[in-house]
Amino acid sequence: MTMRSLYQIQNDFLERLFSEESLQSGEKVSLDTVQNRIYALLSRTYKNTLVSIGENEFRSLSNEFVKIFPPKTPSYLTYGIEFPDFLKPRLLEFPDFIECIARFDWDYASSLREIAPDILPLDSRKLLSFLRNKKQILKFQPSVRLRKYKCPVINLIPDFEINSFDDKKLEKNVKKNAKNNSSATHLLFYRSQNEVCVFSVDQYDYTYLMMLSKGGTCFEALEYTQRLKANYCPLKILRYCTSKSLLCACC
Amino acid sequence: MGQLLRNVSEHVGVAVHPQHYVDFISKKVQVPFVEIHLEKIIDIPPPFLNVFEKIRDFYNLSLHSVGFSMAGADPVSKEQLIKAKRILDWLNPSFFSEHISWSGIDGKFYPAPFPFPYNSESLDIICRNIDTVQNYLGIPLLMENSASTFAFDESTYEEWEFINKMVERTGCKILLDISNLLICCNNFKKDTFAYLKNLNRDAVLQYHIAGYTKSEDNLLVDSHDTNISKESWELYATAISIIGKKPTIIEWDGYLPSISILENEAKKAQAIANDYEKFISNTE
Repeated sequence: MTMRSLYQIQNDFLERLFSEESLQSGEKVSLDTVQNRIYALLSRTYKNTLVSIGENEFRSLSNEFVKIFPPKTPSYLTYGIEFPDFLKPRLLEFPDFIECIARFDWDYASSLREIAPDILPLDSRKLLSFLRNKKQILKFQPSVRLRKYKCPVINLIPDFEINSFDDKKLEKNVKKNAKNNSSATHLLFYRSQNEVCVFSVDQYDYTYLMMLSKGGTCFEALEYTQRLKANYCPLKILRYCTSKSLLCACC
Repeated sequence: MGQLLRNVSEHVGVAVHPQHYVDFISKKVQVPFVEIHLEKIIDIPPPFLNVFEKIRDFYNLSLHSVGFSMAGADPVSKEQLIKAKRILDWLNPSFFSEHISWSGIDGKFYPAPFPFPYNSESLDIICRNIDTVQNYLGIPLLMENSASTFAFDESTYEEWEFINKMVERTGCKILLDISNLLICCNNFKKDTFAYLKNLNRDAVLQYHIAGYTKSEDNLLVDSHDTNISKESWELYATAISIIGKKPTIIEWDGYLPSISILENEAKKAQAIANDYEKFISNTE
């Protein structure tokens, strides 16, 4: 038997692992571990993308992603920045704004990390509970810091003028959608090129986005109840996504 | 070589996860000893570590890492060492532990502990890496035994033999993961009792215990996502009878239950540690 060096053994192992050919059952356990953990990392950052394309598709893309973009550092907090570009040519059967939603997901997660890095990756409901229990963190997030913070989302969604749309059809459709989506409490408007995506966000996201939107008009996030009373926001709804938490419209 | 940073008696604790931060910082978790995973905080500057500042004040800490890829053919990352030193100085944990495994080479780091052959070359490499970490950090490193699901033709040592040589050469200590020991011995048809008898017991400073699952091929897999098995509890009692009581961490990372379930597992471990002879005799 030819004795391989440790480097050769480790290099051979990684090549074989990701070619997924002739893996022993024990080696397959290692592959499953890597894939499951990468899926967990990406799904935490790309929450809206996951909801939009479905778990199976997301898992399949995540497995492919780690082969092409292996983590470059042992800290996985910021892993996955290339995911939106990676998605673009691979989602031909999905609406083209999925890539934009992925970019939004990344920007949102990055922004959150800037403000309160040690409370990731809580889900939003627990995060809100956490913040209530820990009032000093809220105090610690100074508005000065937010005002100075150059949120990449601002560059991505320039000058969203929500007042310029016809509201009546949207209102009708939102009411209809609300019946099927009672957990949704807020709407986030997001424009990419000539499309506008509207998706629901929960209480914490809403608070956070309103904080970001101070000093600019790039974001509007409105409570359903407030929105429906207001006489603005005209949008022409063209289509809904199948996901209850996401609806899309073109203006 | 420096001393361990704080004294910890034979306490049982749990690993900290974000889902339980609220419980920890409000001092609801009734354990004296907790484990924090280095990779979850290593890129966060200490001024932002509000949660861990509180946890540090309330509990004894163990800092656990998988990112140094200790058995990787590449040298340990200097950047990672600098970051780890910053966290260690700030958190002042009782223990700092790593794995007898590797997770990447050539600048790639996968989130999994991979096995490797136990032979003279890998012993040289892991000892080189342990020396680098210990010399830079100035504290003894606890090295955790593996949970391998496959082995190598290139191996020339038993795992316990490899670990003993590693301890002898570097002065590192041992974090004995009871479930990993059970997993390896099951997967490779080895004797857990012989492993425990042969291991350098004086170097063991801490235990881990966790749940595992079974693959389609009847391999045991270190999944950390379920209750601790009866077999693991029995082996824990046996280990205490041979090695002695040590601080113990209950590990549970996936499908995380409520903190009360983790506390119950910790209480069970403490009860077994206090009365291990009865537990062994009851199960025989």
